[in-house]
Amino acid sequence: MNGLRMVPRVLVTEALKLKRTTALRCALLPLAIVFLYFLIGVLSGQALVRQGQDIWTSLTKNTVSLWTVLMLPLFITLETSLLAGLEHTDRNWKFLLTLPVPKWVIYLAKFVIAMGLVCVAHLVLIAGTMVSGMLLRQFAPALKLTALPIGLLVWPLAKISVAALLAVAIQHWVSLRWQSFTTAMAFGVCAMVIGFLAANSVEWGPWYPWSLTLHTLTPQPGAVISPMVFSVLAACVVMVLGAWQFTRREIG
Amino acid sequence: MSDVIHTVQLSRAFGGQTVVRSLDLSVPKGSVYAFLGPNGAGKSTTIRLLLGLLRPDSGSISLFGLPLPAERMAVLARVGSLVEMPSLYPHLTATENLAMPARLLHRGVADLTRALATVGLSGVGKKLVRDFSLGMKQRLGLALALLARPELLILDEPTNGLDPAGIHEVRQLLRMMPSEHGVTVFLSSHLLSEVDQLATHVGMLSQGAMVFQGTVATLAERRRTRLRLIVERPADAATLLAARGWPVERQGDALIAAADAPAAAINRTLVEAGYDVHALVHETDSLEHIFLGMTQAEAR
Repeated sequence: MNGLRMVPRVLVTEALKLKRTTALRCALLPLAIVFLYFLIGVLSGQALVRQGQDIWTSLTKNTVSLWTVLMLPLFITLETSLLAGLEHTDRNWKFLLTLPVPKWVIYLAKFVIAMGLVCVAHLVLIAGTMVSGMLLRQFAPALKLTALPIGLLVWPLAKISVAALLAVAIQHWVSLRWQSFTTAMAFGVCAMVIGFLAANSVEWGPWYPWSLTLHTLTPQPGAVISPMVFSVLAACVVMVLGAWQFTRREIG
Repeated sequence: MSDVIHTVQLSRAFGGQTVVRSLDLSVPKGSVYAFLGPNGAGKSTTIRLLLGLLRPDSGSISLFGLPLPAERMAVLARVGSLVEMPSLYPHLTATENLAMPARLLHRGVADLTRALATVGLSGVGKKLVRDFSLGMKQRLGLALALLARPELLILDEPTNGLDPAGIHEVRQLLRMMPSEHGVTVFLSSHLLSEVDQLATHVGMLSQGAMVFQGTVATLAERRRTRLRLIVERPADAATLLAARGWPVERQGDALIAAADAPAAAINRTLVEAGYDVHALVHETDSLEHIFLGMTQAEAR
């Protein structure tokens, strides 16, 4: 499998393209949530605390919920559109696809970079929350914060990353398939809004790609299949179909 | 010479309109092949077909004797290309733009530096491409094509956007490619001047079909020569010359005689008969003339 051996090289190449891009800067977006909860902590600390929970449990649950419900779907849409835009702008496909690289490798590498950016955003969220905790100990000593029990963020975000695979795979295909940034963004926003409705549906919620992350946080009793397992399996199918379509793509 | 590019009955249509029709392209190894045609003749589509960016509706393509698309990877590893405007990442520097394909093509810093130097961009390697002029971008596009030391260069309008000095430099560069680097050059252009100054072989495309293919020397044989006279009272002069056995055609104020008509005798006859001869010259068809003749015949 010559193509498989090329994957690392293509991945490095795709990563190099991120230099000085908005896509890379967007990975800092989770800091907005960190800053929001830092402000709330400073201004009215106890408002952070959910009943019956310690402050770190409350704070991390609020942070993860806000990120998962509101920002992650937008983040996925934005990142996949921006990454695809690197090639759509100046019609760079006509050079990229004349390099001796299997087309499916390029398709896969771009997906891995998009997922990588999701993971980077999650690392930023974890690091930002740790720093925010340290600052809150200085600026809001009444909260009596200890060091962040890091598992409270790492595990939910790791599960969310896996559950996001399907939404990223679909949005990745849409962004590469249509040249228009607006089309990709409109698709992603519509999918997100439908996700708000589907999330509350017992029938559709566990299967809707943009609701899987939320269902990972609050697993339904008696679910046929774990949202993470479904996400991985369905993402594989979407990726295979997307790569097949991409290899047949013509550049006119 | 064996063919580096060979197509048989290559055709491609878009929305029911045939853009490339039954094209038999034959590009010998070591040649500089100018692929000429007016805008919309099908040059860019042909180039995209040769690079595997488009699939043919019918016909076959082989590069280096290898069929496309079956041997796409093996073929593309030996080809450098520039299709229309260069594909560049404006947020990266020139060096960074070259470093990415260099990694994929297993090329090192030395190749990258050489490619930049070849196109005269050594001094601006660290400059962001978004700050480049159109001509500099075109040069960088050429550097991308040259990066992997290809055996075949496929270039679509490579002198687009270049100033006269830049055009001259690029032509010099391309002209020496076969002799100094063993590279075959296939370039499309709508500029007929590319042929005289650059090419060893020519293919002329009109409405998707080849109207001429061969060496520049063969094309030159198609150039017709004739004797043009500018003389006062051309109608009377024409009658006089016809009476002496030298038939001429009126073309505006000029008279056109056969190329083998005796110029000195015609001149003497006219002067002795009292006609002032302002000009008497042997002229040859320009490439434009030949090309227009071929394409207009095709259009009819």
